[in-house]
Amino acid sequence: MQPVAGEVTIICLTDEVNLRDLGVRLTRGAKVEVPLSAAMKSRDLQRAKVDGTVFTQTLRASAIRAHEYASSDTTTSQSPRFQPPAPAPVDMAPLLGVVQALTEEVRSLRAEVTLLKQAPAPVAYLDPEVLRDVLSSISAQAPRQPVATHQIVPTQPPDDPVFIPERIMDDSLKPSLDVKSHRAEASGVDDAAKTLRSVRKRPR
Amino acid sequence: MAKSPTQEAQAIIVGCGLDVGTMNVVSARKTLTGVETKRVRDAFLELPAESKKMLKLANVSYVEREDELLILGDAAMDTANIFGREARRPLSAGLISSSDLDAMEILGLLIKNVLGAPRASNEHCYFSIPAAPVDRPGYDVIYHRGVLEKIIRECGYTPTAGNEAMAIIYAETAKENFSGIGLSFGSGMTNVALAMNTIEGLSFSVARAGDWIDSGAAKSIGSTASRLCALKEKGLDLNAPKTRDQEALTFYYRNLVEYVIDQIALQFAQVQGRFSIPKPIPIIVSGGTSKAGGFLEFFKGVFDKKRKKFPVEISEIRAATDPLNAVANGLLVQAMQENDE
Repeated sequence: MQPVAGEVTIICLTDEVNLRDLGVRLTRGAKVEVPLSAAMKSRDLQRAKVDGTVFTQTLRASAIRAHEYASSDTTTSQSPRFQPPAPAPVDMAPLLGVVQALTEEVRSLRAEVTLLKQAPAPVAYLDPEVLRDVLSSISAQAPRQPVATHQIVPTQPPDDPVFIPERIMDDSLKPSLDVKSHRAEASGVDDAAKTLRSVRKRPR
Repeated sequence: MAKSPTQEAQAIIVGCGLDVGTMNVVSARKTLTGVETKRVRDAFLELPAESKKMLKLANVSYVEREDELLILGDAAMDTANIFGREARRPLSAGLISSSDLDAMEILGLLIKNVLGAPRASNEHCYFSIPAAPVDRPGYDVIYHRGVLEKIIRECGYTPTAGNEAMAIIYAETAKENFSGIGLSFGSGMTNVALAMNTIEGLSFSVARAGDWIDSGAAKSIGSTASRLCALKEKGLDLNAPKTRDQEALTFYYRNLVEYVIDQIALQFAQVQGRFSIPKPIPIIVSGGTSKAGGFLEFFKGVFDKKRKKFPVEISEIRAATDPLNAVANGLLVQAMQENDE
């Protein structure tokens, strides 16, 4: 078996950790770099990782090996490992052609936008005959309603519909209530009614 | 010469006013010699069917509904006190709750008893509705109005909704050509309307009134709202509170009056450009909450401190002739006009 190249950074996450087989003793927050091959053999490190007392980070290892190490228990597992199939070779020439075409398109559109921004707005020419035809067709389609010429009438949305039961009172219930009745001779209601009548008749 | 009952009946002007408040339902009708008002407490109490015997012994009227007994009106309040319970109210904060179907039915019964049968076919009935509250945007006045219209129609009347505070203007400001600021300090809400020559320039309500005073004072002294309400109704001099309870009530009264005056200034600022008031107008205070002892002087005292910043020139501040019936009377004035049209 080939020795695995690379380094592993071990960071202590607890008050103190002692990795005897690596000869490393760390306090909280302290970190140390050890060879990847030694780290992979270390049972103390594996145990510490399972306990969550250390955090490890693989450096400069080959991609596959580093991935295997970062996933837990890879060194102790005896089962055959999954080898991903090698990717099929891709011909990049057509893709590059498409990218180049798109880049050209974007460049030309940018130039067009810059020109439009600089140029004055074009004055539209309205043929009076065409305009008359268009307007007459619109008025012919419009519903026949009086047109407000001097004021803008704001439109208000109708109130939300409210459900109220068809019958509210139960005719079978006939309560005898203690209704307090009072007769007032001078309530001012007559005078008020008379004045209101005259105010309403008066031209405004 | 005294008129016979038939002549009296003929002379009676049809049309009636109906004030549907959180605390009372009041109707007003014209008689030959004056105005007759009828009032009932807007409250009910549900009791189990087993209480029937006890209610009969106590001579309390009730209605049997399915497996329960309903006590309505003033009797509900009295019985609730005996049982140590709170009577329920069909209206909460001035409006019918859409989720309380009981409330709708009970309110219908109360209104039917207060209105009685119409004197003519489809007699006009003007009923009070609050303006939309400025401090409770979600409150549904439309539903409230719709339910009341339906109930009154079921009673055989032709319903017309009228603003509660505007009704005070109609009842109390005839000599000023229906110009003034009407304030209805009710139980669930305080309604405000500003009018010039019958034209409504501003109307709104705030969700603070008598109930707010009771609950606020109760919280501050560790008591119950119903106890504070009873204390308030028993007699309270706002200008000379004697006990801690009375001091708490006075504190909340002051807060309410200040809040209402501030809200008028605030709301008026929004219509100022569209509405001109060429001469000073009166403020009319009305409603059950304004019945507290010394309320008018108290109100004047609070207003005087804010007069400089108040946007409308005020000629005088006076109490309504009959604060409990002013809204119903104002609605009656409007209903009577229907006979001319």
